[in-house]
Order: sequence, then C-alpha cells, then structure tokens
Amino acid sequence: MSLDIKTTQRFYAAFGILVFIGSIQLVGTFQLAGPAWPPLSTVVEYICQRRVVQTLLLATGKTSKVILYAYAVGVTLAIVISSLVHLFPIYRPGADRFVTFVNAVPAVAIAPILIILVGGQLSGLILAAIYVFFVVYMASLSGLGRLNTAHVDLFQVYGASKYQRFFAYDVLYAAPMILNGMKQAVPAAVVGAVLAEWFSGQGGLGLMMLSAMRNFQIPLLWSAMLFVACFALAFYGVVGSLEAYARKRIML
Amino acid sequence: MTARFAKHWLLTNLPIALVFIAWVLVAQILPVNAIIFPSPGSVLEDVIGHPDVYLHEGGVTFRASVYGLLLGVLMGTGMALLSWCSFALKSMLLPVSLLLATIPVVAIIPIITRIFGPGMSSVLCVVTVVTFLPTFVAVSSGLHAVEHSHESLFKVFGARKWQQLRYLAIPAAVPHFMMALGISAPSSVIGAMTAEYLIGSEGLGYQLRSAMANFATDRVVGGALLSTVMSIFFLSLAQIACKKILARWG
Repeated sequence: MSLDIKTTQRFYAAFGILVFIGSIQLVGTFQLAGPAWPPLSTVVEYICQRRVVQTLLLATGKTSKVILYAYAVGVTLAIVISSLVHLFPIYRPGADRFVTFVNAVPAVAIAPILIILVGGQLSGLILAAIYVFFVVYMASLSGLGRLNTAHVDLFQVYGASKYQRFFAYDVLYAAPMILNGMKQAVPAAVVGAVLAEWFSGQGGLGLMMLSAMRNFQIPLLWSAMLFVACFALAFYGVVGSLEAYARKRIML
Repeated sequence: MTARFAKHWLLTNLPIALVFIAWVLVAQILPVNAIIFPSPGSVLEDVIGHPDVYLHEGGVTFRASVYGLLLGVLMGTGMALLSWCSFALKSMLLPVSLLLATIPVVAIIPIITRIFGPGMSSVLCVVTVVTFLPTFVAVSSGLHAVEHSHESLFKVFGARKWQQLRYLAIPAAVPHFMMALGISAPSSVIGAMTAEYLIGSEGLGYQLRSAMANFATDRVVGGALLSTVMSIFFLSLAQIACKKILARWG
C-alpha cells in the first residue's frame, strides 16, 4: 500500500517538529552548548512549580496588555492611513519614504529618545505600534494595489464614486491581504513590547528575561522565553484563522 | 520637467523634513532642559567634535552587521538549497521554519548571550540568526516557485536533478533572494545594535547605553542618527542591487 503525497508530507512534518524538540532536549541533556542550555524537561519541571507559574503569568499579563494595545493602535492607524494614501495617491511617495525611514531607525535608537520624551510605559506601546504599523501598512497598500481591473471597471461603468467603490469593494477585496499583514505583524508587536521593556525597565516578561540573564537564572530565562513564544504563537494562530476565514469568504 | 521633478522630490521628502524642522523649533521655543531635549546644534557639535568616537563605535557595529549578514544569508541559502534536494528534509523543515517565524527572534538574544558569553561572538551570532530565518524562508519558497509546465518539460527531456536546480529552480529563486536581502540588510543593523546594547563592550549600541547612563543626551541622539543612517544605507544598497538584478533576471 502506498501512502499519498499529502499523508507522507504530514508524517514528515510531525517528525520534523519532533526532531526539533528532541534535539533541544538532547543538547541540554548532554550539555553540548554549556550550562546555559538546560534540557527542556528541566525547564518544564521548573515552570510547573506553583510560585513560578504565578509569577510568569503575572508578567505575561503585563506584557500582553502592552502588546494588545500596541497591536490595536498600530493596525488601526495603518489601515486608516493606507486607505487615505490609496484614495489620494499624490501623498503616496512622501508617506512611503517616511514610513520606511521610521522603520529603518533601530529600536535601540528610538527607545532611549522615546523614554526621555514620553516615559517608560508609553514608549513601549509606541515602539511596538511602530513595528505593527509598518508591516500592516505595507500589506494593506499592496492589497489595495492589486484590485481586479474588471471589477473596478464595472464600478466605473455604473457611475460609482471613488468613495462608494472604496467601501463597497476595495476594502473587502483587500481584506485577506490586510489580514495576512496583520498576521505577520504579531511577532513584530511582541518584539516591540519585549524590547521596550528591556530599555525602560518596566516589568513584564522582557524585564524578567533580562534580569534572569544577568543573574544566571537559566531555567527562569528559558521559561520566560517559552511564555513569550507561546503567547506569540497563540496570537498568530488567532489572526491566522481570521485570515483563512476571510480568504474563504472572499474566495481569492 | 525640472518643476515636476522638484515637486515630486518635495512630496517625497517633505514629511521627513517636517520632523527635523519640528525638532529645531521645539528645541528653540520650549523652555526644556538640554539634558532632556538636546537641540540639533548640540548634537551636531558632539558628532563633529568627537569623530574618533563615532567612527570607532560605528565601525564596530558596521563590521558586526556585515559579517553577520553574510553568514546568515549564506547559511540560509545553503539550508534552502539542501532542503530543495530532499523531499523528506523539505517536509521536515517546513513546520519548523513556520514555528520559528512566529517566534520573535529578539526574545532569544539573552539565551544566545548566555551561551556564547558577552562580547563580539554573541553579537555576531545574534545578527546571523536574525538574518538567517528570512533568507531561508524566502529562498526555499523561491526554489519551489517554479511553473509546473516548466518542471514537466525538464522531466520529459530527462534533466538531472542538478540541472533542474541550476537552470530552473535557482533562476526562479533569485527575486526571492533579493527580497530577503532587502528585509535582512536593515535588520542586521537592528540586531547588532540590540545585542551591543544588552551585552556589548563596544559599538553604537553600547555607546547608546553608556551615554544614557551618563545623561549625555546629545550623544544618545547622535548615535541614534548614525545608526539610522547606517540602516538606511544598507536598505538602499539592497534596493539598488534588487533593481539591477531584477532587470537582468526578472
């Protein structure tokens, strides 16, 4: 009996994940990377302690709040501004240049200036929002730029105004692309929030990682990273399923 | 013609110019302390007055970014080529690379620094990891972005695996490779700066941290500006190379 190609692929995929996790465990068990790389099982055991879990969850709550706020702000601004630029293309070159410029500024360089200007709490939010904004802005504009010409012509023939067409067609047609950008923006939001915590010293998972790194608390360092990764993965999954739903509805 | 060009130039660069004008005005008008909000003049003075500091720290960051970028891109491309050759390896690496793409890479910087110890080797490793992932993902998707009919044609004429790679898959992957370079180039500077900030003993990131600790705000802004210029330089270089190569291959 021969397996079809999809099943074989799934089998290999599961195997790949297993090998990935297994090799992390093995490197730790045999201390191949030194004492800073513990076996995964040790980290999981460490997390399972009641006090540790409580501390980690508290920190996750704090960081995730910043991430979610920044995500909401970044996505909203990106969609509004890219829509405006789409409707008034004369501002496109300036907006593009400005957005690329701001995105190219290393976070390490903006963070101190932001902290000086607006304080630690708000600077984390702004930093993460800038990263989110860039990814969604780019995706949204490229989605709005790939409209179906036949559909656009139809709206023109029936005498729809630019704005009528925008709300009835452009936004919907670009929705899967925008949601794809929103999915890519999830890791960006997480990175922004964690970085800002490093620079500002405001609590949360980022600060926890940093102090664990400086104090050689290796299991804590790994657990904090696992929590960051799991949060990012779950968030990514939620937005990803939204994207899949939109793709199905709009049938691209 | 010149008028149209001037108008286009103005529309393109006006927003950035406005930011700098606002900076000058705020520093002039508002009665804020220079330690909190340095004026452009004092920043310029610091940069011109200490060229040796900026050149040295900037050079360290520049080298770390370039070497890390080269390593990361080479490893990413090599890994993608390897995974193209074997169906099993490709299927195994796909979910892992998806998993790694969702994880914020920056979050593993503290772990890398604990493994490699403080210093340049950690910074280099961070930049390599940051640039490796996008290259691997983009190049392997490029290698598979081959039209089905072309692939069948190669098969019908009995092309060997390496011939298929050389004449079909690699040309298809070139645009993807260039795109990955565009993403990786500026992020190599960002990775180097972040790593230096956390663990470095030299480089622009370290300079930012120590200047902040000493309330030398003009130096903080100067370092920030220099790193921005560097990052934009990398980005433009990648974009120019992308245009040149796509004109030939695209």
